[in-house]
Amino acid sequence: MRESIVDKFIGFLLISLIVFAIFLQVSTTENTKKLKNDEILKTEQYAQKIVRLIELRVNSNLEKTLKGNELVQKELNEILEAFLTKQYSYIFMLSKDDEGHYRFILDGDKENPEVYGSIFFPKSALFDKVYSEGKMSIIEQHDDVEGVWVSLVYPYREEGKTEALLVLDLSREYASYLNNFNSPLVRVVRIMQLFLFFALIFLIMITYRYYQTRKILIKDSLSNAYTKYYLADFFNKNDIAKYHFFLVDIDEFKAFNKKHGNDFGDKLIQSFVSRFQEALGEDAKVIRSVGTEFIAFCPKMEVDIYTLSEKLFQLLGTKAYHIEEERVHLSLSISAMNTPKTVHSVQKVLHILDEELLKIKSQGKNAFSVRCIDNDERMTYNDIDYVKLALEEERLLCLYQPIYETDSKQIVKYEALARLIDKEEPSKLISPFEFMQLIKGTSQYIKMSKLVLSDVFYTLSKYPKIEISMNLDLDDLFNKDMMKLINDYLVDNKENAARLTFEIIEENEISDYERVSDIFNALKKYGSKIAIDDFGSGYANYQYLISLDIDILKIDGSLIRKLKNDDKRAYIVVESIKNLAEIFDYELVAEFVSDEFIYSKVKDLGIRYSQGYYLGEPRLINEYLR
Amino acid sequence: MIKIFLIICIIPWKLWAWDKESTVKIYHHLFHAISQKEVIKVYTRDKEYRDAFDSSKLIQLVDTPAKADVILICCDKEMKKLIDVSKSQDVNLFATSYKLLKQYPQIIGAFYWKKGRSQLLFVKERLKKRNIKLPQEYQKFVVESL
Repeated sequence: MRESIVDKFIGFLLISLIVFAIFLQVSTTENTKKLKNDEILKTEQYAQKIVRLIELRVNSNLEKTLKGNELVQKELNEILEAFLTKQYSYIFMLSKDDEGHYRFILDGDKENPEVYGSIFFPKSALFDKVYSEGKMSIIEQHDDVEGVWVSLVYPYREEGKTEALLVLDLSREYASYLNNFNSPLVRVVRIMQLFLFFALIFLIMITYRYYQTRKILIKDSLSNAYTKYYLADFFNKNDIAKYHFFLVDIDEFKAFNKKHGNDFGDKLIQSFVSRFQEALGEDAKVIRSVGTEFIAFCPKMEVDIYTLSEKLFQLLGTKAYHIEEERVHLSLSISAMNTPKTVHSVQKVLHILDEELLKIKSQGKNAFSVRCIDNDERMTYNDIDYVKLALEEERLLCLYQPIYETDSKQIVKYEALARLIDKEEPSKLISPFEFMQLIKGTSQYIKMSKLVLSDVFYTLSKYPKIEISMNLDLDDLFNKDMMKLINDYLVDNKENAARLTFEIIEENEISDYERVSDIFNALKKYGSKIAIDDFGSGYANYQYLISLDIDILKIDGSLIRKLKNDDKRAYIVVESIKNLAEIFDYELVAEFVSDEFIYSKVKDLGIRYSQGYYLGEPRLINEYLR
Repeated sequence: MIKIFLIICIIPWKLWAWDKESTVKIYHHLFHAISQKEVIKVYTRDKEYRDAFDSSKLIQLVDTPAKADVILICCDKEMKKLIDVSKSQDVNLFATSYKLLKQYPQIIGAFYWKKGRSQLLFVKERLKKRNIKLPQEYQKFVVESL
């Protein structure tokens, strides 16, 4: 931002200097021109005056009066001499003889006067023109006439006929004087022009260096693909919404390097990029993101993104590459995205593509997936800045979903569920599903947990008869800051701690049960309970039951949902979990009880607690405790 | 540095040489028109002109007026010394001022400067007397009387 202002300021300064220099150049030239024109005008006035003075002295027939009359010649020469100031080189008068030759009749030069009647070749046809037309003329002289800048030739007329020509030669020296009249200003202009010249050279050098550096920065020398710098640069000038995006990762590429050598790997990447570019067309750009991960974008075409992705997957993955007489196939994971019209951030697009790619990779790689988002809502909530601002403004709300005793349908507990409040539309609540991946492991996550904990403890204090359970990621418990936060809350609210259950959710397998056990014990120190969420799926397995001291099992929603289809296997699995819970004396909760059929099944199975939209959806706590 | 020094030394010499060259060129044209010869023998006492003509292959300086095709007169004093020679029909006298041309009828023409403009004049009668026929381009500079 600051650099941009500085750039603009330097640009503005340079343009101002150029404009100012041009203005000075033009104004000084104009001024000099005006001075010269003024001087010529003055000379014309002098010529008129001289002619009037001669007319006053000579009544008629100038030549006859002057011929042989040295006294009159002397008088009139003195008039001419009076006007012969330093501006003028010569002032003289010529008449034409019978042969058509010009002859001097008067000369203002006192030191070196021309003899009356001596011949003179004026070296300009304009003299004849003035003579015949009787109109004054200004002749700009060149190097062939020494020391004369401009000649003003004024006709001396008697009875409508030109009798003689009065010539006033403005000196070249005087022209130089006029030219130099503005010399201090001209000098400033010259200095400025010199400065601008060097500034421009400097600017050209910087621009050259800039483009050289840019070239190095935007092109990956190995693959010949662009780099990520180019991506940002490109979308500073282009509309993201007009492009399809692809994120492609070559699976297990290291194996190629290991098997065939790095040179082979390099050639394979080059061949891959070339084929990638060819497949998407010349308007597409291929960017090497990192290692063997490539981003590509191409203008939205008539071909839909799914077909395009399929084509890409076939061409880049299925079709063999011939490198150094070897024939190899690549395994690719491709995520593609049809960008919504209102999207403005490449980072958002890349984040979603990245998420999608991770999914593909977790599902076994060598596949492609297309993400079509019709509006940018999903993308907005996926923006870290958006979430950051929401948390800063504490636009977080805790909804509470009741957990019922299945038989009696009595509420025994509430599960706290965090929602962000949309900035533009406060009635719209944003589920953590939209942004959780984005903030996990960041200070924003701690901030959000702090807000949730604060709300939960406030609710526990306000309603002393209710119990609340809140979700906690197992990874968070390994985070010292998070644990300190929870511990501080528990210490400060010991009286409410026993009415609090921590629902542990986890995405990674536990490697250190001992450590987890210690953490659970710390949480349970003040009477809080530990529930294992989504039991029966992912990593929530039987090892928990063996190694950890837990109180509650929450059966995975996907198992409960299957009861709706009368899935016998699911029924048996749920039943076995129920039996297991009974043996271990765990409380058991069935989640996702979304209709009466599932409820009846849960009831039949004898699962003690139920939770789901059929029984009660997440609401503000006061709506349940009115 | 040596190059700059050489340039500084050479430029004025070159300008001077160029000036001399153009003088020789002009006078050769004029003298050629008068004498109809390619290499013209010229007699002059004026040092500047002698210097200028000295390097020319087309204008050959001679020591005595009698050997010359053209005598270039630059001052009155010089003319007075050449009164006898000037009577000869074989030698053509050419002046560098209007005054000399007007004063001495033996001089056929002059090349001089007036009011910053170069002037060339030939007197018709004097040319005729010496059977000189000037090329067409010089006819506009031929006058009947001065």
